[in-house]
Amino acid sequence: MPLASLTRLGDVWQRRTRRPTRWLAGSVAAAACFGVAHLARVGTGGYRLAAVALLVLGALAWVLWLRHEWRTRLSPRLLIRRVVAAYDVDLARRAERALGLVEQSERTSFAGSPTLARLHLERLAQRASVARVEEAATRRARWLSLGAALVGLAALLVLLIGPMKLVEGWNVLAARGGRAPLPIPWLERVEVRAQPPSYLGLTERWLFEGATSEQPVGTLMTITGVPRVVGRHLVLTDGTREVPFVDDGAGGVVARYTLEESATLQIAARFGDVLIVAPEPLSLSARPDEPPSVDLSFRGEDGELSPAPATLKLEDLNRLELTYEARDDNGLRQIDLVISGSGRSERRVLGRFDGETRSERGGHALPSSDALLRRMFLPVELTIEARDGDPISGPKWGRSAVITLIPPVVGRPEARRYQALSSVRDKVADLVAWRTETERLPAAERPGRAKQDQELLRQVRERSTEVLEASYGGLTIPEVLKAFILGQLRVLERRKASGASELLRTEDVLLALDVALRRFATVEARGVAPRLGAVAEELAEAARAGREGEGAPEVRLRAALDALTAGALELKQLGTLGADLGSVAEADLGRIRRAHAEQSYSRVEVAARHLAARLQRPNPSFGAASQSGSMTGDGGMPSGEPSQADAQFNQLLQELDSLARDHAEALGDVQRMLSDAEQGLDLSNLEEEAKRRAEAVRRGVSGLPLAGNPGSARATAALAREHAESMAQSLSKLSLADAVESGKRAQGAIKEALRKQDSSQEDRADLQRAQEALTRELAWAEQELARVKESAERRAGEALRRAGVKEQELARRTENLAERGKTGEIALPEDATGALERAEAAMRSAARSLSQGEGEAALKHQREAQRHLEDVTKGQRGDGDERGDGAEGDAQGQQGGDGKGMRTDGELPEQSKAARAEAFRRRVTEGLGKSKGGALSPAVKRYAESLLR
Amino acid sequence: MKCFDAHARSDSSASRAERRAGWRRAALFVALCVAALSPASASAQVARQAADAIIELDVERGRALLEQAGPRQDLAFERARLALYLGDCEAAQAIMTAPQFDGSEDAAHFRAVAEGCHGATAAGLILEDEARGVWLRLQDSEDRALAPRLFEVASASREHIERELGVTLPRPLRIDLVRDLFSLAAVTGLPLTAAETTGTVAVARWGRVTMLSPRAASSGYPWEDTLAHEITHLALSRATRDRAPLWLQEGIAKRLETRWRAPQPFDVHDHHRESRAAQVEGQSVGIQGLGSSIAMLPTPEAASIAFAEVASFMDFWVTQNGVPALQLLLRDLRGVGDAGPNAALLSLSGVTLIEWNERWQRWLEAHVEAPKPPPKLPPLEVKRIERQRGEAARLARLGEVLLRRGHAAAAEVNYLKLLEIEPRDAGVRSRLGRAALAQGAPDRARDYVAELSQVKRDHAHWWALRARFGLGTGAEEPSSPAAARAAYLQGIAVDPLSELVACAGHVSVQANPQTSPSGDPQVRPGAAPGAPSGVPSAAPQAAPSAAASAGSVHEVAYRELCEAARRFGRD
Repeated sequence: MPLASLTRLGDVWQRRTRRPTRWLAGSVAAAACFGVAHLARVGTGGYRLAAVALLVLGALAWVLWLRHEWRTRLSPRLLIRRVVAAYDVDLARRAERALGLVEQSERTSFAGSPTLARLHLERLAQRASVARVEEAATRRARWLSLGAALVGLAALLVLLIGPMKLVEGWNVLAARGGRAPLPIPWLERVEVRAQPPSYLGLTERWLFEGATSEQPVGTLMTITGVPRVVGRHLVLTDGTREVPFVDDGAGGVVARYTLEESATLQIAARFGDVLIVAPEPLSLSARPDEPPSVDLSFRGEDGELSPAPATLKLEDLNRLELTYEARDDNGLRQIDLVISGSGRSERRVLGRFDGETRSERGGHALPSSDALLRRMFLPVELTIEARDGDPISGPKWGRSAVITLIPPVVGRPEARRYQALSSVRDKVADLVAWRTETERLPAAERPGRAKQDQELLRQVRERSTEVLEASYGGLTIPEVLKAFILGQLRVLERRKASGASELLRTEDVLLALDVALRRFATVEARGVAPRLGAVAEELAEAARAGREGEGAPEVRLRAALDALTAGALELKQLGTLGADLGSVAEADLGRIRRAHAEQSYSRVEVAARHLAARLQRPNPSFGAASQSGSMTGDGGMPSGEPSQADAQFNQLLQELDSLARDHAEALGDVQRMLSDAEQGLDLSNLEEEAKRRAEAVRRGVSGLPLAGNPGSARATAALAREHAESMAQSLSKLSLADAVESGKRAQGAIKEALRKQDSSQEDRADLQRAQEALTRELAWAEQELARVKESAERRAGEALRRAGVKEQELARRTENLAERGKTGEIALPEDATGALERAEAAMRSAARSLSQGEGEAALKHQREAQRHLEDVTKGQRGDGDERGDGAEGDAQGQQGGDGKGMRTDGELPEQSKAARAEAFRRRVTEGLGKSKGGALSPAVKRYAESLLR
Repeated sequence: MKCFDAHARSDSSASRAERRAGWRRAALFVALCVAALSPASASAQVARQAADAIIELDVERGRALLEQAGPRQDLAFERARLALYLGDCEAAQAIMTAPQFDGSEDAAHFRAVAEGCHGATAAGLILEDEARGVWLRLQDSEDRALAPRLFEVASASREHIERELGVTLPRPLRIDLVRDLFSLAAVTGLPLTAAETTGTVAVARWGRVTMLSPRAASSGYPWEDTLAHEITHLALSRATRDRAPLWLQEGIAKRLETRWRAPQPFDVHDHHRESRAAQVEGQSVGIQGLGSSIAMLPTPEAASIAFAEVASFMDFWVTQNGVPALQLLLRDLRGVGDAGPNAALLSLSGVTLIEWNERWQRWLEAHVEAPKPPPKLPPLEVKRIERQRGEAARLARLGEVLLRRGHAAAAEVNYLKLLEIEPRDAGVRSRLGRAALAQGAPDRARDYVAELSQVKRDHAHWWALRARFGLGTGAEEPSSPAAARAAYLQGIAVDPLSELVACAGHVSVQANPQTSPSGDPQVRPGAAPGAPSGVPSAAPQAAPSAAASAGSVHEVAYRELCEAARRFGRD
């Protein structure tokens, strides 16, 4: 019901105050927005909530104000209060009352005529002055304008001081999940560098900001830049991890981040709980260091390579040739052969690398007689494993596919070998039986049996050859036993001496073989039994696991039980002791099976442990102390060894050893005599001349290079220079023999260098100069050396003649041994007797030379004789068993079966080890110290001298 | 003397002395009652009583005492002892693992014995002849074939020993038959090296006989007499509460080891002569020099002399005092307590051991002819003998190798040469017999073993061939089943697991070479040569007929023994 006059007044007021009011409202709104932004920029939850609250309150205030304005425009009372009361409060009051009357009269008839009341109000409104309203409105507008200006000024000031902060504030306020929606580039001149881990040996790379890149795990990312705005807490984040940017000291900031897994890196500023990230994130894909991959293959019987996995029977192999190729993305450190099974595992290093080798191919031959393999009784797994050098996540092993080796039953190779050897004895027994029968026949009938006799002899020979050359699951016949059997065969094939009994000789051979084989069987049984004991121990462990409820012991237990059962059967094949021990094992196996059937693991365990302990002590069941495990007396039957052939054979071998040692000593004596005689000569008259010539040698070779590429002419020339230097040194010391030796080496090297085509003309000229100098000085040295030797031989004449007598004696001993090896009850193989005869001839020549005072010539013959002697002794000492080292139980077998004397007792004493070590050390130092010639002899000599110092 | 002094005193002083003695007796009685009522003393008493009962093999009484006492910790040792005497080594070991025994040396030894025994006997095959009261545990179940004869021998020898010593052994008699010396040492606690040195084959300890299986020795050993010997030890332990001194133990055991059975042709053991020889040669061990056990003597020779001496001594003593005196001595020893065996000997015979020893030695000197010293042979003769020995060994082995290879004729040739050197060797004759049999010449084989007088010492194989040909021991009618049985039993008394012996002279294994040019007869593996067709290969021809008189059980038993021997395959 606004009255026209009032409306007019309201319009006047409105016209005057609308603009300033709007200005003020705008200024306040802007100021409020700025305040909210700053509040929100703190970033923590509380502040952001407060900012939101402020924003909501402001909006609400604005709506209420608008509503008020609208109502004021429509409401006469409010118009009166705003417009009239602004200049005349009394009039305004009256007008309000009049308005009240109008309202009352319109509601009820008791308040009079509404028309009159309206008229009254109209009149009062007309009394209001438009001019005064305008004046009041102008005054109000002025104030409003002032307020708007002040607030606006303040807001402008805030805006001018930190406009980015407003953006940041509103950005933070709008953040969701800790991330502000609007990316802000925080840095300029951004640089991104990637440094791969040092073990990879790669150089640093530069990356584009915002790029996508793949980098090795462990790469160090370095991000540098100049902040666009200061005072921000800048970080580098992958979403979970934050690395703060720090001052790089050059006006910029830097952050370093190690790449551990694929990540998207972003530069961001942290505001409380909120991050405002920069645009263009850096996507990094982490490339992990892969474990090495290994391909394994083996050479089959047909010579073709077959890849793993495979399952092979160890019994069918003499050796397993493995070929492998290991690859790694970054580099290999080590390659191992891993052998595991029967609860044991062994790692053998095949190669160590520098970590830069990315691919390696190689081969390895594993003999089936390998000590570890021989101790295995359950399937063995062979793998090649390669290790990389990853220091970040730790070294990783790559593993090839598995080659499974099925080991032979414990003792089977030994049993097969023994059975084969027994078959030789059986053949000889057939021959003995035949000849016994022949001898009982009348003389007239005997010639008719000669053909069959020869046939049987041929069978013995063929069977022996077959048996001695064969391999039995990787085992061969020990050299000593082989030599013994070959010797006995020679005895068997000898022509019958007049009046001698062929039958008797054959019987002797039979008994000799019999005794040797029985002893061998005893040694074999003593070797196999402890290994079978280890199987029993494994069985006990499986039972223990069962008793303690660990895992699934049944498979393990059954495997060990089967291995033990089969091994006991094989052990029984190994002579008397083997039969005894095998039978003991079977007895306890019966108990073990019974306990197993009763499901009593504890009883299985104790019975198995008892058996293991028993087999570890491989003595006969009864009478160990009196019978030494060899032949057992048979009640009333005569006992004792029926043949001494093997003992005699062992004695012969020992004598051979002794002869070789004595002769080596004699050789050393002659060398010493000559050396002493040389040293005793007065060479002072040569001193000056030798020095001069040494200098000439040095000058002659001074043009030669000091080094060159291996294999090149320069390298050979450098070697010649080295030899020549050595010659000069020897000349200076008046060591003429060494000087000559070095000189010859130097000459040879120069000739070789000249033959090579890659030398320049200049080099060739140097070489020729050196050659001339060397030839000249070498001729002088040789001439003087010959004179010196002549003098030395004259000086040592008497001692040499005495040595000649000794050499003659040694020759007689050699002859005697050769004769015994050919004609006695025992015999040596033909090769051995041949070598002995040659040694004897050389010794006699040496003795002749010595008796004539020709030391150098004698030495030559002595060396030849020594070589022949060592050929004989080495042949008999060889280890045909190929058992490897360290095998328990085998130690005895080695000593007994292969070593001298077919010993049946145990381990080598520590003392002998020490003695051997000492002997080795002596040999090395003495051997290196001696002048033996060879391309590297000067260097070796100097090295030896330094060792001895 | 003391008695006379007391009577010489005045009446008053006598009455005072009597009164004082009365007070002393009363005080002693009260003290004993108090001591008996105190808990510690009661415990010790039960332990002592249980130990005594167990040691004298009265395990039932020992068990009852321990059960009455309840599961008291202080009686654990006696419970372990009882378990060991009952052959329950597992339980003994379990008891001895209790921490209460840590640090005790005796307990450690006992525990080691229990452990060793458990290891060697766990899951062993147990057989029991309840009718005869014999319990047998076998380490090697293959030895079960031996069980019937073993029960028979154990029962018969025990009966005789009980009668002789006037003592009754509790039933069952427990026997452990072990496979080797290693196990024998483990079960008994005897040091293995000592057992190996002296060649110990059996031990009576822990209330049981632990004996080596005859299969352990390459030619067996007289296991029946050994069993009787060990049972005697148990009987002596029973009779004397294990207080019999070693000379008495071994002397009586040696004396009784062959008396349980009828005398046999080669049963001559002249202990007196052996003792006299040792006396003369200065090798005597002496009655009082036996140490803790004959098995612990340094050499088998010393052990042999010691056995001869104690047997000779006890023979002398029993001859001088009579068997009743021996029984009385045993009873006295049982009650002699700490006074020792010498006191018992003194109280019984009025003479100490030293005096008896001197008497025995004087008797030996007076009544047993000193053996003549061996003649001093000229060096050539010594060499000849040595050569002959070497030749004998050579021929024996040649024959063995040839026979095993199936060349029986050639083997026989060598054995015949050997027979010329050793004409009275039963082993050589048995080998000849085997060679002849392998050639299909049983008559010739029979001739080789025909006469007892042909040999100076018996041999199991020789007996086996005599069993085969029904030759017997000389006391039976030739070719009768009794003769065959007698000879058969002689063989198995020594080497029951030899195939030739167990199968009464029949051997199935003859490895003939394929290319044998000699024409030796091929013997079918698994078949007894000469056995009538239809008879199972394992059936000895003579043994069943010999055993028939003893009933079918024996027949089956011996058939099993033959089969077991074949499986063993030592021949």
